[in-house]
Amino acid sequence: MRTAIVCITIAASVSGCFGGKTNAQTTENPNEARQVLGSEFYFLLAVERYHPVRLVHDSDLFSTWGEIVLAPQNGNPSSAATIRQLLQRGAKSAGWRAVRDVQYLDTPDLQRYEISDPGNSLSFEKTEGKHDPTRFRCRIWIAPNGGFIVAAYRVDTN
Amino acid sequence: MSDHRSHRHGQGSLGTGTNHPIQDKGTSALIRHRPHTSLRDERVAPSMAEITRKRTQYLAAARAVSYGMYFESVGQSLEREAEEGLKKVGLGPNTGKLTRVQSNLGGAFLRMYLDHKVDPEIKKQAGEQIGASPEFKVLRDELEKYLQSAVNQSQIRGTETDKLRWLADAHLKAIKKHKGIEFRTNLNTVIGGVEGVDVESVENYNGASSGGVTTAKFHVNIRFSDVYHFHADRSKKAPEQDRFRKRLAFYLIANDFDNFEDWCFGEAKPWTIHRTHLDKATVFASFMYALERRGWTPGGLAWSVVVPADVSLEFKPHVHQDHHHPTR
Repeated sequence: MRTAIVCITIAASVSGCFGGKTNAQTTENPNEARQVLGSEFYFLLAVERYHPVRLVHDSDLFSTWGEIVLAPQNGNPSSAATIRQLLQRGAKSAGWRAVRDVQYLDTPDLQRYEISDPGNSLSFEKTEGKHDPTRFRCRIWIAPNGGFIVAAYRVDTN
Repeated sequence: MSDHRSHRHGQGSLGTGTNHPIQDKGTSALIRHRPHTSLRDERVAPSMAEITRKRTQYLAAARAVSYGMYFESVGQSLEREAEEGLKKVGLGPNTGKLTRVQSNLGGAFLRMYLDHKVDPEIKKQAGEQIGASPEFKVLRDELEKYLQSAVNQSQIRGTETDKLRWLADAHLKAIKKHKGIEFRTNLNTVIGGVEGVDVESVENYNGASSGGVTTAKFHVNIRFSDVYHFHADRSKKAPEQDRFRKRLAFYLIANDFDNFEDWCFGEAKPWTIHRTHLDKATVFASFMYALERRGWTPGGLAWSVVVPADVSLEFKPHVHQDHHHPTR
């Protein structure tokens, strides 16, 4: 009887793994964002004077995806062109490949971040491993006034 | 019995002359090492019966989650239908994003993995869902375009199905090598990224001629292979999850069920303070990884399915050209 109760408790607890929907996390702490995102996406957090203000992270058994929003510290934005250049350089040096479009990424609510043209974005991909590759995908939008950097990301294993 | 380590500074038994404090290199604090046997000796090793009971419990929990996955998929499907209905009357979500619906076969695949047995009926359904997926449509279109261009250039005849099979096979293998073949929109928990692709056969099932052009229809039977497992390398992509799942595996291998449950189920519960930033699905994937590493699941399940792609190709009559060399 006791075993059955324990079993049901564990099952209910683990079943809860799928009970929740998106586990949205909001953070202004770059270290916390680092832990969630992993080193492949550090180039996003490396834009000078920008820090994460929102991080939405979700996953299933084999993939993780989400979106991150960065805003300038002290409300002093850099120009969109400068940010674009920094991100392109950072992504390249982190081994990302610029592509025209990336699959499987949900577009965030861009209007919320003063971005009216969803087509104006940077798209990157990266694959690691040959036999059982891990695929990294990222699409970035920059608000015209540099007020926000919004990125959608996804990591897929097998 | 003497131990060679008891003669090192700071590592002797408590109260002995060699247990004087030493300076920790990292923190510079003065510390005394605990006697090397204390951790293991304090905990009573679980009996075989206890280990067997835990194994049964954890596998039952995994099976319960597999049914939870099914009901979650049904829930997503209903939510999506409701959203689409609302959108039609102009009341949908203003972001334009609709609920992601994952295949209802995700749970069945988890059970197949736990049983280490491919269920032909589930496999058949997976094949049908792959065939109906948007990714397969793109792949089919791309294959048809490629074969048509090859037919035009190499003057292959419609009866040469072996040549078409070879071309299709080489083309799909090239796509897999360079871009990868993935079914993630709805089938991420079933197949996700494909590990192998082969064209088994090409069958001509219909043909019609008009104005000297023969249009032939073919079934290109594509075999997709995959291995369902939980040990994909995550050390670089998700270091936090990697550390977490290795910790779970360590506890489980050491039969330390208290710590295993404390860490694993503690992270899954919504009302407790969590030690990591991992969400629930990732915690469950880590739980499965630990079971796999402990050898309590049979390990990766290899499976494959043949999905027919219907392609239509035009064969124009061969033009025999006489090569007249210009006279000088």
